[in-house]
Amino acid sequence: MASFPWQTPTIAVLLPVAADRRRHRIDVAATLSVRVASFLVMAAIVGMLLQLVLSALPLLQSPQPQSLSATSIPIALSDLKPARPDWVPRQFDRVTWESTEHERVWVAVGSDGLTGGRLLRRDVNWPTQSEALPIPVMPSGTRISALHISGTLDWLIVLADTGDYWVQSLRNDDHEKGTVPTHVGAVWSPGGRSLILQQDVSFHVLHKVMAHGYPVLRPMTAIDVSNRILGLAISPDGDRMVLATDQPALQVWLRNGRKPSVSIPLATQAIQVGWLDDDTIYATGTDTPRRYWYVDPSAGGVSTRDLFARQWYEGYLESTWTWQPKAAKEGYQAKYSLIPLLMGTLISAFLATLMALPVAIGAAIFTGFFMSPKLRSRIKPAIELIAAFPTVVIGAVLAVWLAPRFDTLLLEILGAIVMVPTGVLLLSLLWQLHPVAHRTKRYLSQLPLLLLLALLCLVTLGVALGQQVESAVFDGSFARWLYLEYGIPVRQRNAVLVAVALGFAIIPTLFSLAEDAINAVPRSVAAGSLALGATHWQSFRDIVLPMAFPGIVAAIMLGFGRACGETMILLLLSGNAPLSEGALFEGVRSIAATLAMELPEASVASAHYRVLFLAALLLFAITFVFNTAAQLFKRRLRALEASVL
Amino acid sequence: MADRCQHKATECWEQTPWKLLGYWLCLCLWAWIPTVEAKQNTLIITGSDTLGGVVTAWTRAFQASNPDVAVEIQAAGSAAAPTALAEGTANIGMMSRAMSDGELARFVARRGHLPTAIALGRDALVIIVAKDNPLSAIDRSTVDRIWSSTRYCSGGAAIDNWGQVPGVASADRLTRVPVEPVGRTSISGSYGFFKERALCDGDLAPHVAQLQGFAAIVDLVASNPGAIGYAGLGFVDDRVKALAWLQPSQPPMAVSYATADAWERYPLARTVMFYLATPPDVAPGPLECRFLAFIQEPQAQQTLRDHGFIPMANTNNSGVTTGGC
Repeated sequence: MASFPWQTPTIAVLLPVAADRRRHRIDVAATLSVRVASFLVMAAIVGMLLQLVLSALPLLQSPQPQSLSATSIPIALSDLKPARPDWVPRQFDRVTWESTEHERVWVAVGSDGLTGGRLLRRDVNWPTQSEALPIPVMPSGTRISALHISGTLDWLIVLADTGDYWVQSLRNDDHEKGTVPTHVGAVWSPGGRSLILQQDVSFHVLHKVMAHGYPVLRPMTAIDVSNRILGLAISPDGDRMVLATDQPALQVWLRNGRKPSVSIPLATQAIQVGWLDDDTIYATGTDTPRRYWYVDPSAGGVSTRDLFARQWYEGYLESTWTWQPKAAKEGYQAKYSLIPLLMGTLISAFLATLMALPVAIGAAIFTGFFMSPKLRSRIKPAIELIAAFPTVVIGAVLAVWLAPRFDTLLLEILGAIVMVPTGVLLLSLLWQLHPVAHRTKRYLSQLPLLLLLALLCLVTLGVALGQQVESAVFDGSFARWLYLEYGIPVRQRNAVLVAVALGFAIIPTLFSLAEDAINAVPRSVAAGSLALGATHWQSFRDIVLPMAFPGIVAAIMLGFGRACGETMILLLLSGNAPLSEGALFEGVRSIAATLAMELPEASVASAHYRVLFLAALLLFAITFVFNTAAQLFKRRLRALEASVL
Repeated sequence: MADRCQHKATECWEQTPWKLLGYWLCLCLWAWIPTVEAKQNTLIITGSDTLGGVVTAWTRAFQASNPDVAVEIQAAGSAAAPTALAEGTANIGMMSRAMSDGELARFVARRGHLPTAIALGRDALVIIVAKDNPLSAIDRSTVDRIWSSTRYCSGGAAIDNWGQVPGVASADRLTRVPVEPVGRTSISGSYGFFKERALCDGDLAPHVAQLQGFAAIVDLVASNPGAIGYAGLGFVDDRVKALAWLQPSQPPMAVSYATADAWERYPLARTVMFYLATPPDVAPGPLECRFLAFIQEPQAQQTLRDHGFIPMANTNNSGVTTGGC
């Protein structure tokens, strides 16, 4: 309604002053509350980011050891639970043992050489008398530096300080002998898969590997500490070790570190070092009392080499990028390479975008430019409705229905994908031959139905073509052919399957944004080109597309970012196999799915917990980069439009 | 209301802050009420997915006779139990394995005492293949060569296709099909148990698919001729074939409920546990005690049997302890 100047005083008379003031008060209150709410939202976002950074950051710092006073020494498990079970003989000082649910084995260094015993449970109770163990034959006077019984109770490894070691089967008479460097002391890692040899000013790390059916000690790294080593101990979880040097100082090392992660200077030399628990070290001097330090397990708990470089892990035959956090039992070497997770995230998002791109952008072009506004107002919400599908439903349906048939349906799907665009092109050529006189209005109104029918035919044709090609060229099974010819296995849960589901899930995002971009190009611009004699396609290709292009790119980037962060589909369909090769038909493991699976089990502030948060931060960085780029493209789109108008 | 707002914007605008405040208060009230209730009579059970089914069934029966108690179950995996108990976010932790020394140490460091452990029953993992797979028994070294990247049990070469599996005839049509190993995700107690017992403390090969439950593993194996997986005995149905366990110089050991006595010698049999955050020599809370008393009733023990576990009283070990109640 137009306003006239003579109306203004009337209003002023009609509204009493009190009501006006009240209205003003409410206005101020409402503005304030909206401001506070928006501030809270921003604060929440910043807070979450800060939380992520604070959770991940200590990982990259070096730990600050805290000296513990007598009252703050934590209760250790060894105070509550006897370290040596009651079935291990008391009389030996140096004894090692291992047990399963129905077998117990102990080996000890006695006054007259090595002795050992085995207890086998036949029924409820354990026997009191132990059977004798086969003991390797060693020259007399051998000074034993380390004993080891394998977790399966199959092998006994006896190491002498001369560097000779004997491997004795505990099941039969098999035995082997090998040599490692001479040493002063030797410590097995808690999991019994690596051995640390302590020498005068250096230490060696050896891995136990299985070769030719028996365990062998393979030297891996020799590290020069450049100070005399007085004592060495590995933490109960096997992640770190502490050295006492004659500097005098204590050095805390990561298990596969190249340099100490922290050094604690001491006033006098320590002769004995050890771990109270995973986080607390102690040192005893010749005439000083035992002192304790707390060393944060997560601070510097992982090096950047662990996260991004190939590592040679214990028991492995080569250096690899491996993601395998320790589970259940202590002493496993934690493997936190982010490369497989990054690879999985990016490859699945990339394939999904590739899968969704032709469908979503094609639909966006048609809906945004060619379709009548009336139809558009119905079609667009219908496509956007896909977004209402919970992704867990898409994942579950495909896991139950498509995954078991994937290897047989592969070529059929491929056939349909190839057939539809080529068929549509052919049909459009045929359409040109159609006499113009026949294109009556009634006929044209049925066109969408005809198109749908044609599409159905084309899909069927594509599937049939795929089947024919599969039986003719690939001997009935494309998956088998791929394996036999190239050694590429087609797994039931693989990256392509994930891409199909994920592509479906991001179609609405891609479509909606691209359609908005195309539709935002002013009608007058296209109308102008049409008036000058351009065809619809020319007008779209040369006028609308260049203007909408930044918006379409923004849509693709947002779709990619959305695919990176998707969790449920990957959790259900990807197989969660942490491969780093980027194979199409093998499993993938994404960052988001890994977070969903492992955050509940990671104990707060552990290295695993912090690595997961670092991965989350990385995921955030990826999506942030893509979303920001999308925003920049959108801004460009707006600038373009403004320059036209 | 909406119409009125369009015509008389002022009037509507006046109401908005008060309405917002009203909504806010309602929301606060709604959020506050359940927490007050939760403090009194909610029993939270967290942990193993293996035990999730039977505990859910127990809970249903328990709540029928104890309507004043609300029970919440979070079956993510065994590894979630020690953390939840130490943090005090669960009353009972269910685990398909015993707590490791590291988990115990962290619990002790946090709480200052050991948790109470209650053995519930025995369960066995079995290796499963598709129904038409020619294999009927498998030994540890083959399992190791299929699943492991360290191969501590065998020291042999990795198995890539079924032709390399001992026991598959060279003429079989499976010989040129790749082996597709499947297992659980790392939060599961079965994952760690399998690594320890079947892979001799080795590592999983990276291409092993990690699924979120035994049901998913059974589904995958049933629908894929080349797949091989492991599942709790209670989850195995007739769509898949359970393999017997081969040991040197012994007949193949088929695992079934009929031969539960022989489980003592079966390497993939395990004890499933409940853990309480209270010290072993102190009586747990009244809610926990009521639940523990309930699960010892014959009917609850039958439920345990129905879910594929052998109750502790039936095996050669001592029966379920009351946990100091």
